[in-house]
Amino acid sequence: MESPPRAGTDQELLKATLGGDEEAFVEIYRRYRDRVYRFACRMAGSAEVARDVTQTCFASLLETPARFDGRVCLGTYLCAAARNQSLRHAGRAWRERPSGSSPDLRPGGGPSPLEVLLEDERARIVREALSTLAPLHREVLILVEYEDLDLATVAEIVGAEVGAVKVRLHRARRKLRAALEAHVESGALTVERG
Amino acid sequence: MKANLTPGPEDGPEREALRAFLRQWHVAGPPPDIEEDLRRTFRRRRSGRRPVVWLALAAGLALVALFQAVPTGQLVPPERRTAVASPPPAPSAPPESRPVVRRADVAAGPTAPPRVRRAPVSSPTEHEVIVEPGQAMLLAQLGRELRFVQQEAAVTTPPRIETVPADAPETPIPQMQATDAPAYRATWKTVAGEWPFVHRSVPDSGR
Repeated sequence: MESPPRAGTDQELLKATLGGDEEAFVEIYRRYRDRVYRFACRMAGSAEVARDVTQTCFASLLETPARFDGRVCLGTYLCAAARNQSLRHAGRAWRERPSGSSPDLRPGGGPSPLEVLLEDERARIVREALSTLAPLHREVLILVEYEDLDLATVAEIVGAEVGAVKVRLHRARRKLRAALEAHVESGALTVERG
Repeated sequence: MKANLTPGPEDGPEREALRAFLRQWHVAGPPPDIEEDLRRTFRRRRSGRRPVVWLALAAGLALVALFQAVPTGQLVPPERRTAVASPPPAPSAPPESRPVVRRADVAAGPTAPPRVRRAPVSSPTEHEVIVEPGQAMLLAQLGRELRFVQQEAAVTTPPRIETVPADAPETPIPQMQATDAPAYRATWKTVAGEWPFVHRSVPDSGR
């Protein structure tokens, strides 16, 4: 059972963390764990790599706190750290990952086995389509489409100009659309509007 | 086809469809054991910092205790410590090509070479002077000659001083005779009409 969220800004929590407050550090982790983990998971295509990346990113706040100079918000900084870690693992993880296994971790109960099977199949198709993208294209697509970040924040995370991010996003969408076209025509993927 | 690059509610249907496709890959949150691992990392770092602090503090206290334990009387002042620690300057070993001349062998005199300094009389030790080989021979010869001159000087009598009473008759100073002039002066003459006026030696076939 998790303790209730602690009040305070990121800067205050980080200062308390460096002063030895363990709960402040845990609060920082809880605020940004989902974004960091999911992004790493989609970038690397591996739950194991995403776990390592998440641990490394938050531990770096303890090891080298001076790297975070406060020019960007803590979430952006952690995403950038996760991006750098993920790029190191990305190529290897996509190659070494056995086919059929999915980093999808869903809570048990709910959908029927057939629905689970179909969802796994759709997730595999999307994951494989994403794997065809170059890492620089994949990261902007994930940050914009999955994490709903604006282009300026994405530009800060990837360390590029907003114009360059737009170009990468456009190319990523075009390539992804081409990769998914065959699956849409065959009926393997359905459009869920809502 | 012009792509809509700005994410937002005004996205076109193509982008909405693409987003819908992408949303079919669900990724759950991180496993709960990551938090426990990070807690352990945090505690390990915090406990790892304590021994360093205590070690530095203990080292400082040990140094203070060490300085206070040493009796003050046994402490040697810095200048004396330096004098004791540093041995007297050893004479530099002369190279084989340069002979060593002892200063006692060279008598001091106005004609002594400026490089050779007079040794103090009260100095019990004789310092070595390093000179060139030819210079050493000259210095030894000069020393012998000066010693001989000093021995002869001791034999010579001081000038005689005659006391004349006040009422004594005046004694005319004898005029110097022309013959008393040195012979070479007779051969000199003033060359008139020449400028500047110089005395020129007259060639003398007899000299």
